[in-house]
Amino acid sequence: MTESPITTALAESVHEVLEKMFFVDLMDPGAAEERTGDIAAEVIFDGDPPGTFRLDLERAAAKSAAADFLGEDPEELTTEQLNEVVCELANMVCGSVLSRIESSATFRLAKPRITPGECPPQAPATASFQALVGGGMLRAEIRMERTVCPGIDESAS
Amino acid sequence: MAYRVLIADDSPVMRSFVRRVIELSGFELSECFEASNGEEALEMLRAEWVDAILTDINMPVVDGEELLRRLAADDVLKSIPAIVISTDATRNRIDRLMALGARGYVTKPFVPETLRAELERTLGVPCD
Repeated sequence: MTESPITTALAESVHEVLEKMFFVDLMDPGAAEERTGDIAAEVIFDGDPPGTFRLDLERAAAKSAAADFLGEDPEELTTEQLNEVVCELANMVCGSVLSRIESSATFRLAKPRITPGECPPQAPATASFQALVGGGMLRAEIRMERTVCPGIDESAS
Repeated sequence: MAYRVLIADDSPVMRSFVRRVIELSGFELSECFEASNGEEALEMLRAEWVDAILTDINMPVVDGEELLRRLAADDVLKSIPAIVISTDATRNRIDRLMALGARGYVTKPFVPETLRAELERTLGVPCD
């Protein structure tokens, strides 16, 4: 099945952010089922269209990413540091995705927030992406409030 | 010559990351100051001279856009180059911030070499 342009933008954004800012390589999770993470951050954005972005990470993935981001020992990281890094990761991926799919528009991201507990069922995600990071799962999904026209401006990235 | 830089960002982990990336890039850094918003940045600038400012946009109290306006309006501070570091890579935003006085723009995500190159370009550091 052909991947949608938004899914492609999401995957590319996750890859680029993690490789450039976190110095990690992603691994294909293969046929792993979708899993709820231990740490989740959400970003609400205004734009054309508006929507929400969510990032879920299993603790192993969060610790690996945060350790690489901060240059610290993963076992020395505090919960506060993990949460802050996950929020920053969500902010960067969300911004990167929106820049790819709304290149000529103006969008504004709200401050990312850690979402407590398991997220209640919502409308289906417009696009989602999953990968293994540091032995743990990372899942990113974006929900747009209305359909985005296909035909992403490739020159935006 | 080593340079003094101010990092303005409301995220402590992002300030830590930017500082670390500057150091990793090999940029000649003598002092690195930090501020959690534009107002703190302006207060700090009244006490310390810096060669360049690296600023986020979305900050509380005084955001990056307002910081750029106030820097441009100050006869002394307007000479300090400000580089915006932002997730927003849209043309609209970049043009707007450059019109407010930003001398450089680095889009997240970035590699250390990109940040160093933008710092050196705005500071007029000769290429190696």
